[in-house]
Amino acid sequence: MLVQNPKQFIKVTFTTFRLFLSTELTYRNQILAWILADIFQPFILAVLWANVARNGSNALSVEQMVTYFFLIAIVSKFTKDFSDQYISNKIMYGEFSKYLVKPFNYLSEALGISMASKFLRLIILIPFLVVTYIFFKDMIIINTSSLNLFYALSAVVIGFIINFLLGNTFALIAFFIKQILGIRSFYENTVTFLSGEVIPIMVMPIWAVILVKVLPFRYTLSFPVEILTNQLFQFEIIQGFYIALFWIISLTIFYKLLYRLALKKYEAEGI
Amino acid sequence: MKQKEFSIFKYYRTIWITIFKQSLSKAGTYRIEVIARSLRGVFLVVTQVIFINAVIGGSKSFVGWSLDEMYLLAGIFNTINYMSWSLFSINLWRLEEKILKGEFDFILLKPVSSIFGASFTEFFVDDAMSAISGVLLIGYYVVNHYQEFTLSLVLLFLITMLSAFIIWFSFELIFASFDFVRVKNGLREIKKQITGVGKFPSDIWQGNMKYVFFTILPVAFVGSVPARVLSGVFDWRYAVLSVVISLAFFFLAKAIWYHSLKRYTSAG
Repeated sequence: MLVQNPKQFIKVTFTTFRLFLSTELTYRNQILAWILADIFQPFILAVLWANVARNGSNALSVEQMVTYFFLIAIVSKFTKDFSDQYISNKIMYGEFSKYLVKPFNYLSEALGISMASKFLRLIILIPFLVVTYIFFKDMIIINTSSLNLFYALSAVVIGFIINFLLGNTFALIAFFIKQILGIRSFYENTVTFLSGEVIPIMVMPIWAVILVKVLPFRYTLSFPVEILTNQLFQFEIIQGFYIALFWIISLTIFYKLLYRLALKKYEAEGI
Repeated sequence: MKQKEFSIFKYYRTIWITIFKQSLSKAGTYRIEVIARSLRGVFLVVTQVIFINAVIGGSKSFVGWSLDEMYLLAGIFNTINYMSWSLFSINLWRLEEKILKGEFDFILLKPVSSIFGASFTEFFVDDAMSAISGVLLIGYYVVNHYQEFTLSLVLLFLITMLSAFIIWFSFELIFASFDFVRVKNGLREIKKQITGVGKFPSDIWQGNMKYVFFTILPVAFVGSVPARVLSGVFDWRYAVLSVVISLAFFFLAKAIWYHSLKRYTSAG
């Protein structure tokens, strides 16, 4: 089990959520800038891929491309995790030591911070999404049947869990290598590419599609979007859930083993 | 007057060479960073090749750009992006942190201009390694098309590349200037997205948007214009235009920097 005391875990998570939210609201200007930046990239990519679709270069239509990146902008707000940077910085600067003496799992704090970051960005993004939908509603085609929505919401929750585990497992590298900025950039590029954030997975070459379907990154972003845009058959959706659950179990085991190893290696700095 | 200008240039060159040597020795301490960034550079080439091939698909071209020209564009953007990160972007990105901690005061006290002090404090060797991706892609284009090159074409290309660096630096300077007015403004995230437009062909934009990316936010000069000049599609007039735009943008950035600096209040 990753969480020893679920009740305490949830309590610490929500306390951290409230504290982090109030800290971030001290500098409100940056929140709006984040939102604009978050919208910019999907907008640019939607324009690019709409041109690609008009060019007739691949199988997806203009409407599918616009819908895909519209949904990417929404789903990424739910599934992205920001705690890995926070935790790896704590380890690098010797501030992780306090978590070893605290009577709760540090992951509860990481989760609270991640949820607070997402909550802020999502709340402010909503008006922009509504405006975008009004302007482009003829081009946005989403399957909103109750079964599909149930599948998509489940996929979003699973996507966040995988992202959270991936990020916090990756953050443990800081115990072994003090400077991980370069490795982190490499990791972020890998996640961005393999999750379908920049290229829809359906337009990748066959060998890349097979690889991406087996790796966990697709389930953090592209999978829920593929469900909502009707790109998958029923059996593909079920198959996707099985692979995602496999990754949750594997990452949990791997995280626990790596954490145990990391603590033996840990040398606190600045004390 | 000329002698004075030359000695100022020598002065800053000497300082920068010292900074460069110190940065190299620091990079030697964190070798894993250098290796990781180099591997990242290679990974970027692979992902960009997949991306470009997905964009081109079964066609021979995309909005008037052939496959080789798309590689060239990606290579130019990567080179400018990562060399900028290594030279000045990271230093300007950390300006906000320096202001919050009161460390910027020490930069103002040094006998160098505040722009130089804020922008060129350190050279990041590991980020320069990521520029390998750009060099590889440009190299691929050069190897396949060297018969088409003339001396004037290469010179015009180098002029547009230099202009691209100046424009990129100006963007960084403008957005960093706002830290003096209000810290933690988040504008760098917007700047990152705006300059990211430069990696795509300018021809995907129509009408007013295209005009904006060639004038008010001249990101087209960061990628598309150098690529089009080297491929012979744009002539010497675009090289002249890139020089004019880059200098105008730089002077605007400098004016904004000094105007914002007047509002700086030390935290320390």
